Amino acid sequence: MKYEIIGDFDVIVIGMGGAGLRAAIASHDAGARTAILTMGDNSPTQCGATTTAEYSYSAPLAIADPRDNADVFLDDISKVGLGVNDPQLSALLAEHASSRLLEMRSWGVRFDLKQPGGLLQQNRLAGHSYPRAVHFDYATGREMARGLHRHAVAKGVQVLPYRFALDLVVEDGRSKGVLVLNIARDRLELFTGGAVVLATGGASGIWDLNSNPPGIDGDGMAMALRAGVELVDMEFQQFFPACLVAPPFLRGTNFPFFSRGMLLNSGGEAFLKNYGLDEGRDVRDVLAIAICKEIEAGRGTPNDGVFVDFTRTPREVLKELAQNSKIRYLRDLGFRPLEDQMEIAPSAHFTMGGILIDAAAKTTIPGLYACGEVCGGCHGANRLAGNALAETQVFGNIAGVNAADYANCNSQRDAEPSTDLVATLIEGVFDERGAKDISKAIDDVKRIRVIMDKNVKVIRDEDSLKEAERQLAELAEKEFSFDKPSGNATFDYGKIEALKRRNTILVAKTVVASALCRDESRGAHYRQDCPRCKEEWDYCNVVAKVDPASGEPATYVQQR
Amino acid sequence: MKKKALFEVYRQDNKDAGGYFKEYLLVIDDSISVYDALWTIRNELDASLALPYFRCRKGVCGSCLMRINGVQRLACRIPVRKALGEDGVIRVTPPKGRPILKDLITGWGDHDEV
Ligand SMILES: Cc1cc2nc3c(=O)[nH]c(=O)nc-3n(C[C@H](O)[C@H](O)[C@H](O)COP(=O)(O)OP(=O)(O)OC[C@H]3O[C@@H](n4cnc5c(N)ncnc54)[C@H](O)[C@@H]3O)c2cc1C
Ligand code: FES
Repeated sequence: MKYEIIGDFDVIVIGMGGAGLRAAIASHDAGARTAILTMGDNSPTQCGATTTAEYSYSAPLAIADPRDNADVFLDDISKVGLGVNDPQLSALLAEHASSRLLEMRSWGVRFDLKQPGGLLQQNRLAGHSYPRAVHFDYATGREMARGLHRHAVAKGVQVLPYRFALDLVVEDGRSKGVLVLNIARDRLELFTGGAVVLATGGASGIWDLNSNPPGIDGDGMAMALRAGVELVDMEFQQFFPACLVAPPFLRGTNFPFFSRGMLLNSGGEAFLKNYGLDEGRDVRDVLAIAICKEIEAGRGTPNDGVFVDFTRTPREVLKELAQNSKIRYLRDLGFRPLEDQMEIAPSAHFTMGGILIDAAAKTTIPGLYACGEVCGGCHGANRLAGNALAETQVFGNIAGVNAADYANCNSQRDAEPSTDLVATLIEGVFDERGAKDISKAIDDVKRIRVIMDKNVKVIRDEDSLKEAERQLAELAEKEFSFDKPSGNATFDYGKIEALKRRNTILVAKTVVASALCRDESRGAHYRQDCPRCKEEWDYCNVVAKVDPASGEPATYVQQR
Repeated sequence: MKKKALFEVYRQDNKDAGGYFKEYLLVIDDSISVYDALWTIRNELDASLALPYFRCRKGVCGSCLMRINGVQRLACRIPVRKALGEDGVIRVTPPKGRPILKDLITGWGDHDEV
């Protein structure tokens, strides 16, 4: 099958969220010819979850409280991480979040100030000992994407939009590039290069009710697994406590304002106190579990949610909320989110688990690096608000510097993979017979999301996980083939969704296997058949890897 | 409320082709956004319609910028109810001043690198 070989770059970054942008800037600064490949267009409007991130970037700048510093920040991260975190990665996050933030500011990324020309404004969020949340106009991620994209492009980072990464090319035990479908031209491209940085974001899209923008379905994790890379902590998925469940076209829109009001069950009772919680000011895992328990007990709304009520919220707070851009958005659509009770439920939001990296953002494969939400390790069993955006910058920088260093030290000349390997990778996806299975494959992807919602959500147990395992295995039995790229099916994002089928299956199976392996409850992983932390699991991680013989993910436990 | 709406959607096969309008008659819940209505067309009536793949769910990203009955706006922020003219028509064209790559997908000029 035909493909274009593109060998103009030393470092290829896959994904243009905050992590990919930061990695590309660092790699470019270290002297490497750097390209970013992204599914969307060449603009900050489609930079993954980063564009949609709302409120906060956590940095222990100690502006609002002089007692704050990196050590206290690390303590807070470790406290909610419950011993699951890789201490080295968490320490890097705590240590470098502030300097990466100030650097962004120097590049023109704006943040809210206390007064014009004054100091940065910092707010305190759940789980943080001090006010650390730096923000901009309730669209902090969009502002980061804008500023970072502009800075990267101005420097000379090459952005290659409309590229869907299909597979990593790994041969002789090292990274040799990436196989890509050019969506705009409907053609295959093989990018060969010194080093590859995976920055494709999390896997929340494999759940039906999720808060993420389209396309965040664990592609990078699936590619890594197929290439023999290990994933860690995949049983830890954060569910944002409050996302809209109705009307259908707003399903998944997150509704963070719940903490300013009260959560009511179908009987109108403020139920959180029955779980020993303080009206929404707790960290996310505990809240999500309480809300789901209430719904499962039959006290939820008809759409399997609970209500958010603001009748007891002070008038000044309501006035302030009314200015919020998301509240205004809902009003534009004809809703009265502060007056009428909206229905919310926990929904898949952030993947704590992911690719296993070391302190240099290296994977186990030489030449392959990873950063941002696609990685596991730095948050552990639960992630604090604001720490994901900080993670993108801290680890994006580390990955970019080290990938450039690797590329500078390893000549590209012998990096070209064998044509046999590339042919095998292509045949894994496309078929010369030209069968058209697109709509069936998309149906499967939707089915997987429902399986995950039913069985692998906030509250799981062995039975539900086994059921998911069975259903996923059954679904995976079918063989699919897709038309080989011909140049005609341009901008066919339906085809992209279909091509994600195998990724979605693989990542879903990995989550299920990891959740079955950890037979205890900890942080965001709540097993109702073993509802407590078990001491023997302290400082243990579930690591997943594809067994080359069966092609299935297998798990083992690693103790630190 | 379910309502009948005639969508006249701008189509263009590629960068260099000429444009034309294609009509789709829908009976839909008129509280959904125009962007969601376009996705309904794409998913249920015509898989060949090219739409921006992204959405932010909060009316901030700008991916869904289009001209709706001649007025440039975010298609995710306006309900069908408000967009419907008296004639029951919603005419959708790409945003002004941006190169059209296919149908409602537009690029950014020099940096499309396709
Ligand atoms: C609604 C919402 C609100 C949030 N609010 C906050 C907040 O206030 N504070 C905070 O710290 N965190 C927040 N988060 C989490 C945070 O936004 C993300 O964890 C973070 O932005 C991830 O950045 P990233 O660069 O790793 O990945 P992303 O920003 O998700 O970027 C992934 C990139 O990879 C590309 N990609 C994916 N698959 C492929 C493929 N196969 N081929 C090519 N490209 C691909 C995508 O197109 C995209 O460009 C929020 C998340 C959501 C969904
Ligand atoms: S989808 Fe983001 S502004 Fe409309």
